[in-house]
Amino acid sequence: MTSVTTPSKKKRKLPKYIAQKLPWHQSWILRGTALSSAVIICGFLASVAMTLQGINTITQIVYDPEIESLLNQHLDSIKEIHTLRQEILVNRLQREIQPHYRAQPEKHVNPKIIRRWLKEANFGEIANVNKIKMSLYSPSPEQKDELDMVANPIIWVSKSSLRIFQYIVELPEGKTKQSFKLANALRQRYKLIRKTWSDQIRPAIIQVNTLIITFSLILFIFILILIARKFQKRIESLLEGFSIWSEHNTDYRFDKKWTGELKLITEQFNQMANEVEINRRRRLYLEKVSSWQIIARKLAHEIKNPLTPIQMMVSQLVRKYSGSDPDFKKLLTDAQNIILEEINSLRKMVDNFSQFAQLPEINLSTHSLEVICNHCIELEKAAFPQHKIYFVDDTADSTTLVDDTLLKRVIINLIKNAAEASGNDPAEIRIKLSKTEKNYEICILDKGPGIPEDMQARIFEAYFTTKHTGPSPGMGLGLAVCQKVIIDHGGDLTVNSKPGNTEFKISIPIK
Amino acid sequence: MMRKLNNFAIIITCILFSISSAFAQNKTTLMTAASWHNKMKKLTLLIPLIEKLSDKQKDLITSGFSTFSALSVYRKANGKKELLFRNRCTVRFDTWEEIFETSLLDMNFKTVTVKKLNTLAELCLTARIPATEKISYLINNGGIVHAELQVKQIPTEESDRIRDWVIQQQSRVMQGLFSHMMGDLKYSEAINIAVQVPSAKKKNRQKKRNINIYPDYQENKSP
Repeated sequence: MTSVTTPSKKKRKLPKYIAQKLPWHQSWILRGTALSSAVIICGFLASVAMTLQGINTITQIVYDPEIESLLNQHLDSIKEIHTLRQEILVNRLQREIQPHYRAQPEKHVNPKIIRRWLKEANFGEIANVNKIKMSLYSPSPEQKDELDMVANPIIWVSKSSLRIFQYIVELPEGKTKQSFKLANALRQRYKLIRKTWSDQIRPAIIQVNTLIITFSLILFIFILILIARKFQKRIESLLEGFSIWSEHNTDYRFDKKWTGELKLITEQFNQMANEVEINRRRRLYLEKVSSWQIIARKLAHEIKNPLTPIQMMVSQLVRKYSGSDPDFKKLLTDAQNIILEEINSLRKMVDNFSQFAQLPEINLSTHSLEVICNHCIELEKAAFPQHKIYFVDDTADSTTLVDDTLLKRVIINLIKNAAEASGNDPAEIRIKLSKTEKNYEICILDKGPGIPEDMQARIFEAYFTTKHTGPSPGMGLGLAVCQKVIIDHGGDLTVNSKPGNTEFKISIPIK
Repeated sequence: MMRKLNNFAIIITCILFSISSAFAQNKTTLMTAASWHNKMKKLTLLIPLIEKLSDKQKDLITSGFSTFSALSVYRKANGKKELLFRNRCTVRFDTWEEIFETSLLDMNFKTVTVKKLNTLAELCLTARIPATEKISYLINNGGIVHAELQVKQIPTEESDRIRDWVIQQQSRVMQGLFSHMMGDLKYSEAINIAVQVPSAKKKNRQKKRNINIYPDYQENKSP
């Protein structure tokens, strides 16, 4: 039996940009950039379109043949007027010359006579006759017609040169010629622009406008991309920081390079991270203390119970001996003393354990820290008269909510540790009360040998002590109790120790 | 994503950047016929081009601007151009005096003054090629040669003033760029003419024709 298999449908592969969803900030940046680019491009196209429309409008003016026709007519009319005037002057001159050239042969004609004729023919209307230049006429062999001076005593050689007999009279440039020059210059300008409009001027205008608009567009888009890039980088950096903190490094903090709203975000994040860290450590410590307390309670209970029967049996044993051996009797007595001594020692240990296991809950009430500190200092001064214990108060008012009994216990314990660390030689122990923005700080400073650096992190652990020998060897519970009490107040107990300078700081929040 | 945006911007600006039509010279190809002339036992090939002068070239010559005309006659052989004759002139039409001030560049820069356009054409727009070895192949069998006549305006003070005036009409931002892109603001026209040369045998040869070459002109004695 053959199995029927249905052909599998081809799975369509979506394009990547659809399959992968962009992060929110990237999609918004993309939208903003696309919208701005669209606006700029539309503006660009509109500018080019308007430029072309403007050029097309000007083209109709440039290509107007009537303007050139009018200019040509104007120039022709100027020449016509000038020609008419010339004819009038020449007719007058001929009338003046006629009675003279018959009488005098041409060789006697000289510039002086010619100037007189010109004056009489009113050539002064167009020029100063005395300043008119004259020169002898020397025609080329081809210019035969002009040699006949009798038939043609006066001929216009050019528009401004007149031959009178054998002299060339150069008439200066008059107003007519000047106005012709001006009109001609205008016509030349119009003609040149018209001739080169399509080939050179119009394309140049379009090219230049398009070039400027294009470069402006490029510049705007470049700036837009730079701004978007900068914005995205900052957002990504921010998100990366959040990710690092949440996933594997709770000590990560943002540095202080941020500006604007992002600076506010990073500062608040740093503050939140600090608070989370503090709360985490407090929680861990309280959990530790809680487990220590459980152990202490059990130990106390287990050790305490057999102590009494042991003591009773030893006493009974000694009492019941009725022998006469003095050595054995002495041995019994010595043993009883030793055993009782150790039992007392164990009872003390059990009491310490019981105290640690049954630390009371804090009971907050309003007290003055200055009063509490002064009370503690007075007590310890009496206990350690060899040391100089003094108080420095930098606050005007140190009233806050505390459990005064437990706080006194902490301060007394710390002063006692400082005094014991300083030894029997006189030493200074300073207790300083100060205030910060959020906390009251009580610093106990001594100049003892200090705490080794490798031990500073462990001194607040239960059952850890540096006082193994001496008059009062410790159980290692004092600082643990102090730490718990201060944590219960919402504050913190820290140590900073170097040889010759050890400072315990109690921070209690202002309430 | 930034790279994609960059590429997008580059593509868009390349598309948007447009280049206008370039300045181009108009060239037209025409046909004309040449003729042989024998004067004092010297055979000369005559190619008159006055009738082939375009309206634009005529207008250019009589515009009052200084112009340069270049008449070249050449033959095409093996893909190369062999120059047979060249005649170059500068012409300026004095619109007031109505005379053409001409300088014949290939005749030791001889300057002449002519009154009529036809006379000017005889001087500058007519090829007179003496029968030398170069054109010996045309004498017996005839053939086709090519003539190119270019007339272009020479920028002078007037045209420079007009150019400056056009530039000043633009905004200050655009003046420099516009000046660079516009060029010299001159116009020119060139025409190519294919010349049919007949064989220089008796029946095709015109014996008597007055080719008194330089009628009606005045040579300028002072430069």
